[in-house]
Amino acid sequence: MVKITIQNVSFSYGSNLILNDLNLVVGDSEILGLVGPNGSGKTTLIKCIDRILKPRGSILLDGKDLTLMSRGEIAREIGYVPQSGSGAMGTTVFETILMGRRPHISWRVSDRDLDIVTEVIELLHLEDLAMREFGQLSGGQRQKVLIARALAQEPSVLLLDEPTSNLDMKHQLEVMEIIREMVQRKKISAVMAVHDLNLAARFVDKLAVLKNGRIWAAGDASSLLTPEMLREVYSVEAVVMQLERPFVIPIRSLNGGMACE
Amino acid sequence: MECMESRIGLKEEYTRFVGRKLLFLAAISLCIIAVAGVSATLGSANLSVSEVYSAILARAFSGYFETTWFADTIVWGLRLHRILMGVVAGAGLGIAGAVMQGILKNPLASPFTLGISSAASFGAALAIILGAGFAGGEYLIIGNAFVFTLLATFAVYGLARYKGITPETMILAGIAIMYFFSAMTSFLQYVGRAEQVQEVVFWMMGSLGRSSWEKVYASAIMVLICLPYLILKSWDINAIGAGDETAKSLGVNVERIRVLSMVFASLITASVICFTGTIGFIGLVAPHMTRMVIGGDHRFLLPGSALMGALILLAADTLARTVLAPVILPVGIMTSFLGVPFFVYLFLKRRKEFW
Repeated sequence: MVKITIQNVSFSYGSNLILNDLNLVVGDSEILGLVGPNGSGKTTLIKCIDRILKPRGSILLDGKDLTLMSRGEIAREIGYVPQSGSGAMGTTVFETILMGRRPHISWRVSDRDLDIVTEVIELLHLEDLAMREFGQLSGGQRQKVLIARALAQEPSVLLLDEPTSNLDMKHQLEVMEIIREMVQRKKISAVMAVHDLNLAARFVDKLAVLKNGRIWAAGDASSLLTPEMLREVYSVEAVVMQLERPFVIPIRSLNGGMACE
Repeated sequence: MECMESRIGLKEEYTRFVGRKLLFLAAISLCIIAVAGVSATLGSANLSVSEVYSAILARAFSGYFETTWFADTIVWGLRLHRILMGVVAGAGLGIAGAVMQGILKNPLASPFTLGISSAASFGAALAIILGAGFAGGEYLIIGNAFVFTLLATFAVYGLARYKGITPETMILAGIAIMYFFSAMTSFLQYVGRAEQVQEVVFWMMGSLGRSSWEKVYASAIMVLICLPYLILKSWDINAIGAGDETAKSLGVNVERIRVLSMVFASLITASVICFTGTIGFIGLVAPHMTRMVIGGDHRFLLPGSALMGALILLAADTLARTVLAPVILPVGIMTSFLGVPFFVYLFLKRRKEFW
């Protein structure tokens, strides 16, 4: 079953074309990884799917055009995890996650809202942090709280903008494992911008490679993560080891200088 | 089974957490009543405590309490409306400050950030020095201060809208408006006569001495009209505090909430300072003090800041009336004297994450 259909989507900041006629589909309970160099349009596409930005073309959720849905309706279906988030001044972790219930409540917090928040806290093992101030958390802890807030929305789609950027190796794996587990457990779909190709190969079901605002190719990691793709899209010479999943070892930048992941 | 216990434990912990916030609100309310009770007995008229309370209760239970014309005039005609004006004005400035800090995501925001204070001062100066304004008679200064406050608000909105309604554009537009009206006020002071300039300066210091029952009612009605919208939108203001994109993803119409909240906060401020003159620091400090105790959830922060503002202004005015008695200091001076040390304390002690 198709969850999200992206049809002829384009977006410009003034005269600067960021997304150029994109077409993509995301299946039910599927994780789509958006990869590509900086400035290729990954973050912009995620914001367009959540209607934070308003693109040309159409984006359908379960066959329904997002432009026909109110902001509240979209918020009840789509949860968004920003690249780095802040909590409101002086709010606790519990309150930050409770904010995820905003699309479902008018003012009063119901017992059900508290049940959902406590369930999410437990799923992400945040019990010990629940009454701590959000601003005091480490980067990895904050990322988990932001994912928890999005899950408290009870969305059918989770959008994540580089959820592992600025995290150490342990927290990168932990966050990706949480996303994988939540997608399976809650039967939701996820679209995730990722920089680390090896993490993407390991945790996503499907990849879409973006270059200069266009879809360069979409498919599974094994067929897309090739030395040719890395040369053409990233201008990087790399070795790709075909293990259980492809594993990219960058060698050097083709524009001069040292290669880096 | 263990999971269920853990969930119940978390819910109970949160319920206790909310309970502590409500307890704080109740405690502040009691403090206001206590300070008001003491404040009513203080003044240069040398009335005893029993004379003051007899005068208060005699109006409600005339058969049971007796009072004199003098005590009744002092208590009802001079002290009580001043006390209530302090409560209403402090509450208004406190809640307006909390709203401004929330929607602008700026800890230095206050009702005066957007040039409101300068515009009100200019309106008052225009009335005092040139006698020009939007209303006549005793309402000339009040009308001018009110109208220019709203004009400043709409000018900020117009300027910010041109570049997109963001906290940065609103603050920058506010600074531009503030300097514009400050320059205009300085010009008026330059051309005004010495006694007119003195009156302008006195107005700009802020005082509850100009209060009356009619002014208390007018301010209170405006605050009560604006308050429900702001309290109802507490969740949205919370979400905006987490970032515009996050707020949008949570279903908040960010621009609309920001503009309407700014208009309501400005209306509250205008309806207060047109009667009192500019009273500084309440709008800045009251939300911070409240946030330090009960956190940043605006469902509790807004009423908490209102109560804290009321308490600070009432206490400051009581001090202003008594510290150099029989001389009564303008309360604006007292709030600044009390506010500056606290502001410096916040600056030195604040945790980076808190803001």
